[in-house]
Amino acid sequence: MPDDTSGESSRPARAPAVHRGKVELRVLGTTSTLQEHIRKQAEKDLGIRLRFIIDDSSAVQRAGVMHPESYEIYDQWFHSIDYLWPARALQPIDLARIKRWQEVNSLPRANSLARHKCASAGSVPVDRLYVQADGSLARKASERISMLPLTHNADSFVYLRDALPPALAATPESWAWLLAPELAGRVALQADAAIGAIDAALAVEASGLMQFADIGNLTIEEIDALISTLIGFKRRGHFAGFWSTFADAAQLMIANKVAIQSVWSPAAVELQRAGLHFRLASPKEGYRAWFGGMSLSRVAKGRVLDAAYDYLNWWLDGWAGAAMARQGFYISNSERSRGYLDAAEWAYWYDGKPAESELPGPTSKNLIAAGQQRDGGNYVSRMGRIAVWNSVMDEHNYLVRRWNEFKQA
Amino acid sequence: MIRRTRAPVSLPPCTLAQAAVDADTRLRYRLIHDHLKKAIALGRVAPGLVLVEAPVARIFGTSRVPVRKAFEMLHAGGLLHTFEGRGYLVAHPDGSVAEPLRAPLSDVTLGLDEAPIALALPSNSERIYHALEAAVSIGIAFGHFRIDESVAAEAFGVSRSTVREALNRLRDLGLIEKSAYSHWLAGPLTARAVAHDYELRMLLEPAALRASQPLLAQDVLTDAYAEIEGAIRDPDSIDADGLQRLETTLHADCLQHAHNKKLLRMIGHAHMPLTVNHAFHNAFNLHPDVATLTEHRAVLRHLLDGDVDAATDALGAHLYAAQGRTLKRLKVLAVLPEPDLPKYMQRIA
Repeated sequence: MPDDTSGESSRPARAPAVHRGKVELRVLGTTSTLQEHIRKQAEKDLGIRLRFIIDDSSAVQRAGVMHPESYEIYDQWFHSIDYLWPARALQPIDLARIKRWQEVNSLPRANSLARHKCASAGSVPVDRLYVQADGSLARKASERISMLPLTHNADSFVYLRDALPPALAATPESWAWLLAPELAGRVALQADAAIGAIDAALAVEASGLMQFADIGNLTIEEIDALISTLIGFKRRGHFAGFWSTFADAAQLMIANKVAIQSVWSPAAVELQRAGLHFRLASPKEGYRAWFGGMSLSRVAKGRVLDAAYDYLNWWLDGWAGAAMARQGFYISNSERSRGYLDAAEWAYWYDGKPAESELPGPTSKNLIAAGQQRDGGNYVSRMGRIAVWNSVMDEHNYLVRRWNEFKQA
Repeated sequence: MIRRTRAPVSLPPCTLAQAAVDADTRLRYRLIHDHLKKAIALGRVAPGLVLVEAPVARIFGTSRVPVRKAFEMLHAGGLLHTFEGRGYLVAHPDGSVAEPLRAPLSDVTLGLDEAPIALALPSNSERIYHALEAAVSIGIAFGHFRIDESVAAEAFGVSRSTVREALNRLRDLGLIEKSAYSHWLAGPLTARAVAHDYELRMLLEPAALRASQPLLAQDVLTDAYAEIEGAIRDPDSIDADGLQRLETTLHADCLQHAHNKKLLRMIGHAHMPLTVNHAFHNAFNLHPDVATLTEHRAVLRHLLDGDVDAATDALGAHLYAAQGRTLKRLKVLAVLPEPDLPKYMQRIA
């Protein structure tokens, strides 16, 4: 694709020589990381102008693929590299320019944690990390990467404790609960096929309705059977909705439309603030994990590219990692963010210990009550129990068409 | 309907034939210009739509020459603007500049209220075949369609049997199929179908190359090698159509001397991946990746050296690598906006 557009948006990229004022950096992403308090802090620390271009996950992926001229930094998840890289929307990140690369932990670099290998189902981050000599992406280490690994988490579902039927409450938490008949009509799923369909597949498998050979890479027959099972549930009124942003997810529960749903951690912050009595499940089948990060637009160059590298490095400096911890996200070089967290905060978010005192949220003074404990335990016990990564499977294009049919059924 | 005037065969050399072709071309660019001018002025084309020659030529069923000329005239008339990308931007009806808008080009997006029948070409079936192939190869990536023969016949202003003839050729390519109820069905495109085509090609193409190689003319190979060298030096000079020509050279021309025509037909039936790649490169206005080009060069180099074993090995390796690349491209299609497709493409799912 050519460097195109005559729009406002691309001026800083093309005419840096005339105005030597502040560089403006455009970051494309979702509300999960593009937040005003982060934007202000980075502007202050870096002396640049920062513009956040925010949309839902599918719109961000589409703009990322089709309009690399509209952003310098793409901020989303590793599985979206499967869309952006073949479309040549990105340029490799030169590791020599990432100061703290050696601090990034082994999970995104080797798919291992505390010397244990992690799940290999789904779009494993390290398999799309390193740029090879022929321009393709693979696990073999090189000096250039597709995306700088930053935030990550182990996701599952959230449920209102009071809504849970006693029969389920007596059993270990399971993805099967998303399909429990007792909760019919009060269930929601994430809308993106790379995420929501995996949650649904975990639920269908845990319910004993189907078994998949590789849950991160379904065949056409498995996709057809999965969708037809889900459409059956939908026609019986099982699902109350689909959500695209964490705020939508939180709203579904706060408005009492939903009692159980797949969820992202920042939504839990909202539920906490709304005073709901809920729990983030640690399903016995394991979590659906994701790794977020940032990539460079193919067309970024000159001063703006320098500023983009400054912004990537800033994310590994500690402040941003601490801000992410307070909404339940881990950062890839967590030790660096420890200095920006109170000991009590670190103990709660990373070590899974009961809060010694009241703890702050991302922007609020009081979020976590003293004595409260993070669901699922410490970093290793949560990230070490991955069932499957978010996935763009071989038949993803087919899955997306069928998933849309399900959503519209 | 304007018919192409044929130069009488009895008349000497190329001059008359050339004059007829020139006259024909002149008429075509004028007609393309008039069609587009009217559509833009009436606001039937989205302002900012990026127009590039190849797809517009396909829609009008012409070569790119008259399209280029028509674009130049529209540009001079202020209805198209240049920008930093390839092609032109459609202006607002008042002539002002719009933001670039990339969308698949079709007779619908070009605001043609009737199919551009006025350009009737020497062969209607050629024109219809190319238009159907373009619509189907884009469409199958976005779902499962039924192709309505009579709607298509009406859209093209031809008989159903002409449409059927073109559809039969697409069925031979494996792009569409005919159901038990005689409905023409296209898509949905799956990774499995693409992988199956590659599997067939990996089995059959090396055998065909081995059979064809003794009859391959040295100058054909020299030309093909020079062309691929040029492409490697300047990949940006190769657009989607250029890439398709390179693919045809290696995967059709170099195999064509094999005596077993049934073998060649079977290979021809497994060319859906080439169509996917063409649609992909067209959608993103992408140039070929260097790996594709260097793999092609390796096969041609061995053929030039007369080393058929090395050439067939290199062809197999190329097809294997190409399969991986094509399957990756297929995933990308999942995030693209659904294009406006012609009315004869009726969505089933």
